Amino acid sequence: MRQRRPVLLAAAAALLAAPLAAASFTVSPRLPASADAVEATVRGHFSGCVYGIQASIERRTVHLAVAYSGVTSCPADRDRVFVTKVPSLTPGTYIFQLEDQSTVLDRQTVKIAVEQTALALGGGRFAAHLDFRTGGEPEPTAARAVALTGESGYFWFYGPLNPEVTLKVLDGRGVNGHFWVFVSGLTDRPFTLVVRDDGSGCAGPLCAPERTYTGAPGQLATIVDLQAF
Amino acid sequence: MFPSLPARCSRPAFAALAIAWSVAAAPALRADNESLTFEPPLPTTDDVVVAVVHQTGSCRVWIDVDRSGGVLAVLAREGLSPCPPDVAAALATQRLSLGRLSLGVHLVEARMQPPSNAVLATGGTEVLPAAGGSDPSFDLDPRLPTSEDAIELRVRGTLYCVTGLESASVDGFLVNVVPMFLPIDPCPPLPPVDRTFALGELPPGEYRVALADAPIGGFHVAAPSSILTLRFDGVDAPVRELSAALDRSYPPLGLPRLARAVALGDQAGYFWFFEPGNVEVTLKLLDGRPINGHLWVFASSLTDRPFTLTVIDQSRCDSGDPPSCPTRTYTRGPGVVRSIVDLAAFPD
Repeated sequence: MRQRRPVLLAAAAALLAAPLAAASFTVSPRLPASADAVEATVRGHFSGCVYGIQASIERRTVHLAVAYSGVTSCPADRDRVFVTKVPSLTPGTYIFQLEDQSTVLDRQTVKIAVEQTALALGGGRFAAHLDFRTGGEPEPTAARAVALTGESGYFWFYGPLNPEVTLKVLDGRGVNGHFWVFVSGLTDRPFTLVVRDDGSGCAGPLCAPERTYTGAPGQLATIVDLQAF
Repeated sequence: MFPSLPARCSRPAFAALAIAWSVAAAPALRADNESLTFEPPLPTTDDVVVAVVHQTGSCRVWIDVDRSGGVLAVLAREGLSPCPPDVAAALATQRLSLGRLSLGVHLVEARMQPPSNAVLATGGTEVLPAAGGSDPSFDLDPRLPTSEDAIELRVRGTLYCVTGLESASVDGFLVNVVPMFLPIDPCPPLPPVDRTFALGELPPGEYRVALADAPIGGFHVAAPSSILTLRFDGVDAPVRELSAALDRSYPPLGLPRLARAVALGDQAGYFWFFEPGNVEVTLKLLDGRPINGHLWVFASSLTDRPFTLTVIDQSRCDSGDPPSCPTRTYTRGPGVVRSIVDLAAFPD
């Protein structure tokens, strides 16, 4: 009976605590890749017996379950925020589901992308790749790429929510016959960005299908190339 | 024996009916306790699926796979009768390869070979998309759409017996992509399909994407916003919540003054002026408190248009009416393309 008591108390606490009226969550980063640490931030009006959110994975569903402490006398309900880490996910589409005692409070579809070191822009016509150095290492490191739109994206070095170099390629052919490249750096680490035009159909020595842009150490690079391709 | 089916029944509906029926009628069928499982238990389109037949007290030998008639089946022939116990034990578990299966729910029958065709067990397995996006996957442009954005859906993958993608339609919160099938079986290897569909603007909400009624994923359409909400959680420090907005000084006539904001997470986001695909300013806040006691503001500019970026610390507002909150303002004039770095933005 003593061993069952905590279980009974937890069950009683769960029964006494009414299901949440409203709660929601956000997933960060919003464009996760398979190697990223994913977190879910849950916001709602919670029973005082709620001590956190427990994340578990079942096939393609990530369950975010409201967890209750095993006490029968609960503090007053109040607005609270919980942040919980989600176990690592392989690439694919998942349903994230916030649950309170088998009631689904909120649901979102989240796509876990394959890690990328190249940005495909312009419908795949342009491919961009960025290498950087943080110290005196002999070989540069390939930055991870996150596409935002068909024209824009960014590279990160240390974390997906810490963009270091933002890139966009715009179609300026209607203005001056060229595609335009814009690069903006938020890092003073040296980097080399290569943008390649895979769809020019150009061949021969006068073609320049690649453009290389560099960020000097100790400086924030801002590059506008209106003659890129 | 089988429930009567509508003349035209979609594959998932048929599978659901048959599986439900097989569960309900199972005792009458499983005179020798046949049952059907699959390996791997959670197959993807990359896996070779194996049907595992479990039987008790029977000398049936499971010898073939039949794909005709629209239902996948494993076939058996009768063995010794009565069945010696040692032979029955050796034949208790038998495996047959079904090969790679296409995405979706597959109903499999375990039945006697012709002319009997008696169904001994029925099972089903759901084949999921393979990791790595080789089968069918989709991408959105923009990747984080709002209800004001003209959304494009690109669907691609290598699909069994599919030569192309005919159309995509939106029905409520379901986006159904219709494939074009090659009407032969078995199918030869076909090149991957790749097509982009213009979905237009969609109301906010959670959407499901289906390919020939089989789900391949979903996406979220957010309500448009001009405010970025950012947040820092300290281990032994109170939570800091900040908001950011970008005022496009002198916007073109008829366009809103505030840029649209898209959050990338709790501490980063971007703003656009003219169209969601054209990112203009990317903002990130870093927690520099362990180093110099401040939150740091970084903003990369990809525009020469003038703007004013305002970041407000919502968690440090005073109790005045109206409340006054710590605010940092950054401006860029016309023709200036330069990033913003503030390492003394918001003290702890």
